[in-house]
Amino acid sequence: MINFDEELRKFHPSLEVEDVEDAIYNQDMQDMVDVMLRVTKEGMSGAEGSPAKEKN
Amino acid sequence: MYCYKCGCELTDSDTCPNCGADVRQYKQIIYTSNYLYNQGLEKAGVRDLSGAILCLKQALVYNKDNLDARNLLGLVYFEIGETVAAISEWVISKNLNDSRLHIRHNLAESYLNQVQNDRQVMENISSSIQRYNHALECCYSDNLDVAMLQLRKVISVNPHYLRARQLLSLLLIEQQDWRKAERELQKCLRLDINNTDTLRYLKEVEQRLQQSQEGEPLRKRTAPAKETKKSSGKRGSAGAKAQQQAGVIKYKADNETIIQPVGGGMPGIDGFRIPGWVYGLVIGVIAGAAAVAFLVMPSRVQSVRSAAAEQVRTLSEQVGTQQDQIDSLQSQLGTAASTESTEATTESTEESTESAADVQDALLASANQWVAVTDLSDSADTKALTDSFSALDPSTAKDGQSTAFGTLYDSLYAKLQSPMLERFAWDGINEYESDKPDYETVVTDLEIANRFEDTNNLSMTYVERLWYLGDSYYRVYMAASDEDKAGAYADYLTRARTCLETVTTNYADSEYASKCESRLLDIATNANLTTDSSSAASTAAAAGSASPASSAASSASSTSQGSSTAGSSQTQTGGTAAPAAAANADAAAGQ
Repeated sequence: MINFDEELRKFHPSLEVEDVEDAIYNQDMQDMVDVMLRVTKEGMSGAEGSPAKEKN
Repeated sequence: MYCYKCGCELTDSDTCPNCGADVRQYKQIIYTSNYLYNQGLEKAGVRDLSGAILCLKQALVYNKDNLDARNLLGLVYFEIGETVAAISEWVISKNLNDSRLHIRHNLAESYLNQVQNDRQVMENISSSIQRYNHALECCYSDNLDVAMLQLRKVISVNPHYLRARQLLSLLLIEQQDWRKAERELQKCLRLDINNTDTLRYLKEVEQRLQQSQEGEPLRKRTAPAKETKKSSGKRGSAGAKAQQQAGVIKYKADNETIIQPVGGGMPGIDGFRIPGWVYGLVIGVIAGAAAVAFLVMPSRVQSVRSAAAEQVRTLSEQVGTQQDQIDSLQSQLGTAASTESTEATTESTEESTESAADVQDALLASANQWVAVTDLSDSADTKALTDSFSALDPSTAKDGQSTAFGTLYDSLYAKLQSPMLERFAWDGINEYESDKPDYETVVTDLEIANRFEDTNNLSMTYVERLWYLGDSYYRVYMAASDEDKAGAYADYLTRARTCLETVTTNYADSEYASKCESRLLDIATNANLTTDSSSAASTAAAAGSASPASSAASSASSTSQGSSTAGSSQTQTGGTAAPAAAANADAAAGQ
């Protein structure tokens, strides 16, 4: 049995065209590669004491 | 694939050939991202857009630089009506590509150009989003009718807006309008075949519909247009149930349950069935062709024919008019030609006549000139001249002749009058006095001589000739046969009487008067003067003409009585006046 109100809550207002800029800026752009690099970097800095950040 | 440290292109080894960095884990992340992208691509191909979105998002979680996954994700968002999300992904993709060390061709740029450069598309997208948000607010405020109106408007502008269709379906479910809800949900399935919300709603609707199968026919549950065998298993229990009853209409009528196939179309051969719209199309084409052939074409043909007939009639009238003009012109031409030919002929005739008359006059003039300079009396051929001239009657010779002719005749008469008189007078006299006279010859000669007698100056032998002529007339008549007496010599007695009476009347004292009187007695005794009708006229004419001759003869006899010389009439005067009197005497003698 479908609950209308409950289902209705799942519907959110759509972003308007003017809100594209904000949507882009608010996106989380971190991916696994970034995580890997961070882990690598922390590992190296922990091992050598002078981590060098290199990002692709 | 490039090294995350130095950007050098990586090989199959687990270290960077340039900087020596360990790239094994990096490679695994990249491979995983690519794998998820492939899965998302595969799902997008079968219109499992919800599944594609999940896979592509996962792919971007592993590698945000996976531009293909990001572009495809934007494309999927755009397909389900999430335009803002789509534009966001494309913009990020474009910026990531521009900041790369190895820039490559990016589809996001073309997508953005197509969407942002089309003003109408942007306006539609913007209006759809605004209406959807407004409809959502109406739903929150229990204003479902307005919400439905707004949503229908959104769907009409942007039919691919999945969320709006789902919200509308929810509202229809809330209103328990199961059939419309099912219809909308089916459309949602066509957009995204594996959308969880759509499938849940559809299951609810089908349950509701199934509960109301008593007295209502079940609707045909059609599978999505792009459904494949691969995705059919993922539809869930509701879809499978619909497939089982697909193509079947089941209802109860009274106490009977009737089950019949949907559409009622003829079963196909080996499963192939011609769609119903084909039959309708064919029938429509045939009906249209028949309508054109029986309704439109006859009128058009009739109009064309009438126009052609009118044109033909007009042209015929023009031809007839022109033909009449041609005929009239030809007749005029013929008339003008005939007139011209007639005039030419007349002119030529006149010219020829004039020319012939001119030639004749010229000849006569030349002859006149010759006569004028020639002494005809001394001519060796005077007899021939007189013979020729004797054929002319002085009294009528110049009648109807030209002036030149008259002039020549006068000249000849003047020259030949005396020779003529002398010759024929003495010929007649000599013939009369011969031993065996031929009185007819005497008559002929003496008649000619009398024609050329000058009435104003009678010759010496005139009276004698009158006696001889009268007597000859009598004698010829008396010697003729009865037939000749009634024919050729019918008037000879009258002539004889005329001559003899002239002598007895005008020359009573001449020596021939007594002889004439005795001859008159003979004529009165022997002749039949009462039946001669012409003799009366000739007698009057002879009497009338004889008087001037007698007066002239009396004057001549008074001056030259007794002269018997065979001389010519030297006392001829007035050649032109003499022929008139001589003509009268000849007419009397001739008659």
